Amino acid sequence: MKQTDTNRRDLMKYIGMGAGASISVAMAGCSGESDPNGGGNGGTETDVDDDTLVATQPIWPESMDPQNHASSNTYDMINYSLYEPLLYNNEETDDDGNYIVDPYPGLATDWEFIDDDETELRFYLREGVTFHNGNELTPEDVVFSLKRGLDVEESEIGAPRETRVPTYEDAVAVEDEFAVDLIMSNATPKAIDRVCGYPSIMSKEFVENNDPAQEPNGTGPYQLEEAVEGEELVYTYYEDYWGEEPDFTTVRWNIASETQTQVSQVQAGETDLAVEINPQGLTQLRDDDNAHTATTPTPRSVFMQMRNVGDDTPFQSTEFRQAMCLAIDNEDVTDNVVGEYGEATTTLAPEFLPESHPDLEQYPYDPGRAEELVDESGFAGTSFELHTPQGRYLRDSEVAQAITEDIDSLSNVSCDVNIRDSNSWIDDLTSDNAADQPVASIVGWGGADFLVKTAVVQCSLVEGSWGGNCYDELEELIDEANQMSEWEPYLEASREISRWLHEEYVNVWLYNSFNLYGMSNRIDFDPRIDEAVYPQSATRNE
Amino acid sequence: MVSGRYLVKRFVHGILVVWGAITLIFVLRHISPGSPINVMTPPTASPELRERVAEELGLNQPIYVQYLDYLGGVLTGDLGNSYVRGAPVSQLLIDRAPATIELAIAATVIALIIAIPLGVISATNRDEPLDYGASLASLLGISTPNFWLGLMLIMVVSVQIGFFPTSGRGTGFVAAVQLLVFEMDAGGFVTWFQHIILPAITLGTYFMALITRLTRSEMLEELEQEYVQVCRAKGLPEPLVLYKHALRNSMLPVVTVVGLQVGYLIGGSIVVEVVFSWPGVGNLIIDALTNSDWMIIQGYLILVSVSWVTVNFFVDVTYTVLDPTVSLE
Repeated sequence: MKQTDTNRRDLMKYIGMGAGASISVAMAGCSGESDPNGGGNGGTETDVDDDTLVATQPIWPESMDPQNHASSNTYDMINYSLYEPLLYNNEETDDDGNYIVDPYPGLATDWEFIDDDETELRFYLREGVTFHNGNELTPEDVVFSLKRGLDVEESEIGAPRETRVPTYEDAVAVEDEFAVDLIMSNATPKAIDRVCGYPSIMSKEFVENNDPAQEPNGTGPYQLEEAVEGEELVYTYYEDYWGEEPDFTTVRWNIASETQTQVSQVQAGETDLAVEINPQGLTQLRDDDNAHTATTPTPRSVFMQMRNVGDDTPFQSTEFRQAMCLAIDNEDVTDNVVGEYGEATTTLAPEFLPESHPDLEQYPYDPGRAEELVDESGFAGTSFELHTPQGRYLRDSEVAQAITEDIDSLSNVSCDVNIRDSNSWIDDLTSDNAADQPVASIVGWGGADFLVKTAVVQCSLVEGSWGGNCYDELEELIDEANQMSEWEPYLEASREISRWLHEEYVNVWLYNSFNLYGMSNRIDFDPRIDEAVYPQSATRNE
Repeated sequence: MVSGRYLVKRFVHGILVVWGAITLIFVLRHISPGSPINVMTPPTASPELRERVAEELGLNQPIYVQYLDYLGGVLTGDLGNSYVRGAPVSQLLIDRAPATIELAIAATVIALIIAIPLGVISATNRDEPLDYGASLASLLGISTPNFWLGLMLIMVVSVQIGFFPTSGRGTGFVAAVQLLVFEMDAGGFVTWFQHIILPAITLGTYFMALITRLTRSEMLEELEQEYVQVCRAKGLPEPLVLYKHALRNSMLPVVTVVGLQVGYLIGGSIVVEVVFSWPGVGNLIIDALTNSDWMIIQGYLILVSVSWVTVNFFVDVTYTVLDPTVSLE
């Protein structure tokens, strides 16, 4: 018994000591300054030194492998910071105010078509470039990377992003030249645009002997210094980088999935750049003297997809589809729900893309005519569900609820909204079996490559999935446009597709969403239309 | 007194509970909508790529084969690979668990340090302003959603006053101790404290309120007991009567709740981790839920069930330390 008593007493003593230690630490913490070496999300404002850019993303990268993920956040943190493509896209505007891809040298210093058909594109590679592990860049590395990123047959990861360059056929190193040829199935004026930014070039020898998903090794301006799982990626300037030294020689990527936390980080001076914030966060930062904001339109179109394949869908009728387009007051919905963070659109091509048809106008809001069209279609009395993900696109579920109300107010159609978990929703949407796909769904689709974007959504590009919203005539038009090797005929054919999409009421075209950024006053950063974030482009705000 | 037989019995029970949890989680995964193939491939993936991924994941195997494979893996510590990240789930959990455990312990310590004295003060000042104040504080603590509390603390304490960082972990406790012990540098400890204090308060507030109320009610009961009057009659100093005798006897139900709540804190820290960007398993699970990364979700749920079983086992053993009359056989 005595022994037991002593143990109990000891236990109490230890508890007391623990409590005392905690209080001491608490007092020390309250009176101290933060440790500059503490890492993490930066601590207090004084932690951020002049040469360090702190940027915040909502999610940890899916993978360090730049060719085996499907996340725009991962592109920013891995592809655009650590790796490089053959060509960059210097976004420009043409004389008519249209957005155009303006290629400029990355790992290729020059490029040209070497055949009259313009199906063989030669890239002259930059000499003296080294990967972060010291390996020298060779044509074999470039061929390996092109095949790994674009060749479904030869890529050990199955080239999951092969649709970025749908005309890809082969890649070969050029004998006696420091160059690589990209062979394409047919000529297209988009050939060069499509290799701007993708694929990231990797070291063949390194990938074959290491796991690039865990260990990055690119040629980019930054190299990985430290990765603190789930919290922070620290990059430092790669001293042997061939290009200009960026303003910030250290980049710390933080993770904060909650927008309010990102906003607070900017307000507290703990982060310089919050990459994905919502409209409420943007408003808060606009009112803050220590911060500034930026918004940019993107090529992401949000629309109500209407499945026309299958016996169970009223959307097989053009009249019914037209009725839906007339039943929705899109300008009102866009103004009141999306506000200044989106622009009402008329097709998949936003107005700033040259492929958009200049004569198209918003569908008029005419519920009376919509009811007549429903009667004419033979589907009067139909009811259907509009499926929508929540938070996947700017204001998606709110927009879905607003347009459901418009449709449901028709006397001869009934509509309910079905707000879904994002993953099960995409599972249904891309089902091999068209009958399993939602009859109506809110979909947002990005990409500045109009033909690829249209082909994916309207089913001609990928066999099986997305097969519920499919039109033979549209596929023919896309095929035709894909055969155009000159810019003007291509543009004409693409605009014809825009017109066709609009006039056949293929989908209810809603809006193009904007990207929103919050920044500390320490930096300047110009957001890009293609949504890419290059930390090396951030500059000190003098 | 804890017998060896009891320990074995509890161990076997624990194994059965964890096995049941694994099975249930596995079944839930298979009846949930959403295919892992969609997680691992882009929406534009070709049927060939989707088929290849299904084969790699073993999804073309009969379900009982998948179950046995998974169970066999769990027994050897292999929880499979994340669908999205490709990394081993057990490694991801090992990397993230210390942050969550650290937060749960800090929240518990803060809650106990405040709640127990507050409960005693409240009981010994029954129906007086101090009691009303403590009761009001605990009522507020119980009814304040920790999501809201966390955001308010960030906005007021971090952004407006600038006292603590808004988010992140700064440094781990172990690293801070190493720095202190080997380099006599308390800077790491300060950084650790500055980062953990707000999330720990947020996570521990509900817990603190609960323990305050429980301590108060148990103390009120104990203070009515004859032995307390005997202690006072013998002339023992009041603090000794309260804290050595009455409080100790009122601690059994508190320990039970503490045990249950520590399990809750580990499993329930998700919201706090998201608000404070705390790099623990809670944040990992949010990413996994967003991406339907079932391998991580499964691994996390197994970790939570193991935590509950373990903590409850230790709670039972603690009974015998606090009260020698309790015998576990």
